[in-house]
Amino acid sequence: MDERHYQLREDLAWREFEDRLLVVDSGNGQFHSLTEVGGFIWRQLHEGNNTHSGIVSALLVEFEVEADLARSDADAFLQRLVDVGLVRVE
Amino acid sequence: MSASLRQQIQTKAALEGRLLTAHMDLTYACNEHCIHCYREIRSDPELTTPETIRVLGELANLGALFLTVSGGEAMMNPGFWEILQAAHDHRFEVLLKTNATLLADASQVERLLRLRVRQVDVSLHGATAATHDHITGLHGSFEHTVRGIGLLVAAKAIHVRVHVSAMQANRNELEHIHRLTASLGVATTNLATHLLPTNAGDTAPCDMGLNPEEFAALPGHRHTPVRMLKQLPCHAGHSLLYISPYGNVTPCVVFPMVVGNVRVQTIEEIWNHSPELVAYRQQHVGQSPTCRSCPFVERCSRCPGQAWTLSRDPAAPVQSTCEEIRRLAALDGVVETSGIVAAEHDATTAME
Repeated sequence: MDERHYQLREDLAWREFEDRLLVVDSGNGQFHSLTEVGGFIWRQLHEGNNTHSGIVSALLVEFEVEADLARSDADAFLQRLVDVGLVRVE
Repeated sequence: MSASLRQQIQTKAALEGRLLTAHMDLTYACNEHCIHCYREIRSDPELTTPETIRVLGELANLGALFLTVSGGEAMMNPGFWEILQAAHDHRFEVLLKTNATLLADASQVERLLRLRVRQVDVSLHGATAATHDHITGLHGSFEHTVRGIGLLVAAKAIHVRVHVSAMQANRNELEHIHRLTASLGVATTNLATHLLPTNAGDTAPCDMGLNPEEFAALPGHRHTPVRMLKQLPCHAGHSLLYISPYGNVTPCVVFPMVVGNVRVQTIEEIWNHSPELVAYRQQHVGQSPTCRSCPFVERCSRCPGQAWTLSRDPAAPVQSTCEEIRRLAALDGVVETSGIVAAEHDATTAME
């Protein structure tokens, strides 16, 4: 089981915008628009549900999806957050 | 070039009347007394720190993401750091506008960084102490501002933009200012081509400005009229609002049509229900008969706030803008952007 912890950077500005979640990384001027699912995962991380397994469980409760799809979506999105530097892995 | 994601969101917000950007002047107190200042300063009581922090919460709850903090000189507000902390806690993207004279040392810049202030706009009006201090009315201000810029640039993580208001008093130093800011390591230097009438409608500051021929004659400083939105004259009142130190809410800092006051109304009440604001949004500003028939309307950057200030009609043409557009067009059709008129700092990625 993947027990890595994903921590949102504390120096980011973000806000809900319709069904999106906007994130501004002032450090490099980048502006990100997260989809509904991405925004859901972001809020989970913000609220402290920051393990891969915890995120997958939350996705299964919130959305009617297969477990494999939830895992692969969480994998891809969390890795993307790490790649662009919005999230740190601990 | 396609619009960046940031521009797309800002346009969408403006067209739908969604609040995205708030500008708060924390105080009108200022240690400088610029000859071209457009603020209308009264003796009314200014918002207290708890009042300001309450307003920040209301702005965040309504969806505002971008916050501009200015003045006066914002750092003269005794609650400055407490207010920035609240803006940080509400997860705003903060732009600080300052003359930088009160940045005492690197520890204060570090404090700005900890509070997520990553963009700072600094006003600089001369390349020499004599010119800058004459314009600001404060002896020694040039030295302190240049030192403040140096402290901010040294932090590296702060994007520093220097704003220069071009006017007769500094006309011969504009090139030197650009060289000075470049030597200081400033990322962006913007040249404001227009001086504004005061919020009370006094056009005296405008008379200190350059005329289009003088501005166009500056090497590398050709004015590019910019219209941000095709459908609207600007974001004011559509996705942007301004809150004065007295609590008055207006569409923009240079659009002094009071649409509410945060001491007696919530931001939500004002933004969604102010009769003046709702009427303004429905007015299709810029569609006056005069403007519709103008051959230059496509590149006109007419300011509805300036129109309101001068005529109490935000849809009215602004004669000085009309004349400038015609004269610029007569010069050579304008339009190139280079040198001191720099690009917006807006690296953008989408994540979808």
